[in-house]
Amino acid sequence: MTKAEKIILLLILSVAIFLRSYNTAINPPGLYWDEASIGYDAYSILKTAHDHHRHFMPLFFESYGDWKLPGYIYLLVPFISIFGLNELSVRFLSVMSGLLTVLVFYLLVKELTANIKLALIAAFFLAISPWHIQFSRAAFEATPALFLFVTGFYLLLVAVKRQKISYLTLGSALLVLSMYTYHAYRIFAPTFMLVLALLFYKKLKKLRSLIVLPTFLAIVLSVPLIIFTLSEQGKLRATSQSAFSFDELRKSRLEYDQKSKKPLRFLSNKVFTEPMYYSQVALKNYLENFSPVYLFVNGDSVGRHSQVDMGQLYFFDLITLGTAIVVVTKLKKQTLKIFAAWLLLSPLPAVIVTPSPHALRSLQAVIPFTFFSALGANYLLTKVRSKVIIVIAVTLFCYSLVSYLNLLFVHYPRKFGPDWQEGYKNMVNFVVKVQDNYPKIYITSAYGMPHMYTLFYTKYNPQSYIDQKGSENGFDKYSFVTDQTDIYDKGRILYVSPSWQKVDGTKLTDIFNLNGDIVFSIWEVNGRN
Amino acid sequence: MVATKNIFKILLVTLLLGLFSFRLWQSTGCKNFNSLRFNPNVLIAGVESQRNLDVGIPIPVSKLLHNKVTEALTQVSSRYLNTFKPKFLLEILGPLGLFCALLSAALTIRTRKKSQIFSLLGIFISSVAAIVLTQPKISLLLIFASWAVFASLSINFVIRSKMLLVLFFLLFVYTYFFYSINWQMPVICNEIFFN
Repeated sequence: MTKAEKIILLLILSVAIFLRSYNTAINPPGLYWDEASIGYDAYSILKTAHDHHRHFMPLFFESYGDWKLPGYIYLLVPFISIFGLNELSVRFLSVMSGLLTVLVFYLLVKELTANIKLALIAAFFLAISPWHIQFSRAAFEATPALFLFVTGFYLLLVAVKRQKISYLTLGSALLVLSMYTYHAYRIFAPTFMLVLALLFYKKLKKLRSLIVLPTFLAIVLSVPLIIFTLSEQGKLRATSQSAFSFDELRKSRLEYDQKSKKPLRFLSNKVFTEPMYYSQVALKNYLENFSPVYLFVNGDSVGRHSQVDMGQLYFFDLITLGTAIVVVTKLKKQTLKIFAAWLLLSPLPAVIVTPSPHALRSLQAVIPFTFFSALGANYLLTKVRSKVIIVIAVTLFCYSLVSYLNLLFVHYPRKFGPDWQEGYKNMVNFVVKVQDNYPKIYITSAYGMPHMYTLFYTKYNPQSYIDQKGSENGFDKYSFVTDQTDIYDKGRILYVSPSWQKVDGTKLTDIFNLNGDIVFSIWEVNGRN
Repeated sequence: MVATKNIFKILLVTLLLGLFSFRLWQSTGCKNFNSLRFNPNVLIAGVESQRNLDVGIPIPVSKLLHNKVTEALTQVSSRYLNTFKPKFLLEILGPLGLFCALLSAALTIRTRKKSQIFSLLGIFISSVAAIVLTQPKISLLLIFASWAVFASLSINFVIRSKMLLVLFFLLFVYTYFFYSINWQMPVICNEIFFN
């Protein structure tokens, strides 16, 4: 690597860190409830070695009954101990994982193609990737999981090339660790490795003495995960997210019976069988992950997962990916097989759950998409000689980038506050200021999980919470209620209502979002005892 | 040998076109086809909603980033790319038709035959027509016809491989089930009735 190439790589990493860390404590505007839960559980582990459900050093975290994996939470503990419990510390792990993924991706592409220019372009494209940036700026488990997976895979490649068992062992361990960090990798990682083992069977057969120990280690490390998956909690999680609904099947069959011609109705119990129905649901969900509208125009419909006003990829990626389709035959067969398998298998975790397409559950697709886009761009840069075309292309590229930055830093915090439960921080901060004046505090649960935000923003002592057996209904002087609850028989209380509720009391303040809309209203209520 | 191949070719094309005809027949129960047409009336509202979010940004910069040209490009691209949505293509072509179309696309890239390229161009042109025409039924028929022709060009390749032949017949059966389950074609039509 020349000095110039090192400088370019450093610049790329600087761009990556800036785009992922600038204002990350306040944009996204507020902590999503999963972030709050992850942060508080890491804090609780740090202080008490128990999660907030009183489990000692759990392997799987109960959280909101969704049973989170341990990877992000345990990896977060040192950051919480250094930076304290706040938005920045909770998101810092994601930021660093995102940055390091760019570096490892560069190394991976260099290893597979022996083309430093292509590797630098690929690293740059990942550094500015809207898809990757979106999930690197908040505490999404998928981001460190992707980093672990890419690093583990890179180590396996290097190990096979240099015949080093230590790299193989470490690589396998990291791949398994990715499965303990985000649920999607429980499906993607083993499937991808299995497919690669089949594709490169002959090569691996020659190395069987090397791969026995790492494979055995990977299987042993996976055993607790397999046990969890088959447990009641694991099944509960799977069914709660499942795309395969028997009610939907029945509804479709009923519609068919009611609206089709009589002679064809006898076929309905032959056609609407579970395997047939669910297979077509899975097929549609799978293919939607390659929808050009999803990739280049609108992105994921969930506000936390994309800008929604643009695709998961830039519009210019349409041109570079189109070019890559033509140029891809020039790649080494091994490299093409690896990235093609990666691309085709990436949507699998998003297929079996709702909604689909799901940018978070298929985040691993950003790697092959970025690679192929870089491949197309590299080809165009080599072949295009006309200065006019180069100027137009660079202008369009810069315009796309500036438009995206405008969406990310200016529009996004104003538009998607509700997706990030914006308002909770200011509400809790106000409540803390005045709470000594009130014997009881009632907080609305209309926006979801108020107990977690109260715990997080008050940095409530986890030991106290555990000792008093706190729950989502209340702890200490805090109670969390619906807007149907009668708050007028509780004596003198502080009541935090949602914006739409009319309350018979003295309003102390309103809590606004960035757009100036009221999120919470805080009241003093003098009720009957 | 050649005669057998030709018989197979005719059989496969007949099966494929038969399946597409069945799908076309199903669509005759539709009262209101969903429109693919680009609506220019959304431009101003789109520009205004974007500019309203540009708080703290100099007005010339906001106008450069969000104007009728950029909004029109986004809206037109969105409508155009909608005609290539997998859900939409799956609904009209079914799994077998989509498989044949993808095979045809791969062959176009590999062989660069004129017939394949012209057929592909036909798809791009019919998609442009779809977002311009005011009658959604005609738009859909144009798209359907162009994709059906493109998909059937892969038959020559299918008959050369036993594995592809087996896959063809399996997908043929599966597509019938698919068309039956997706009788209502929600991506294409508001409601389908047979009285």
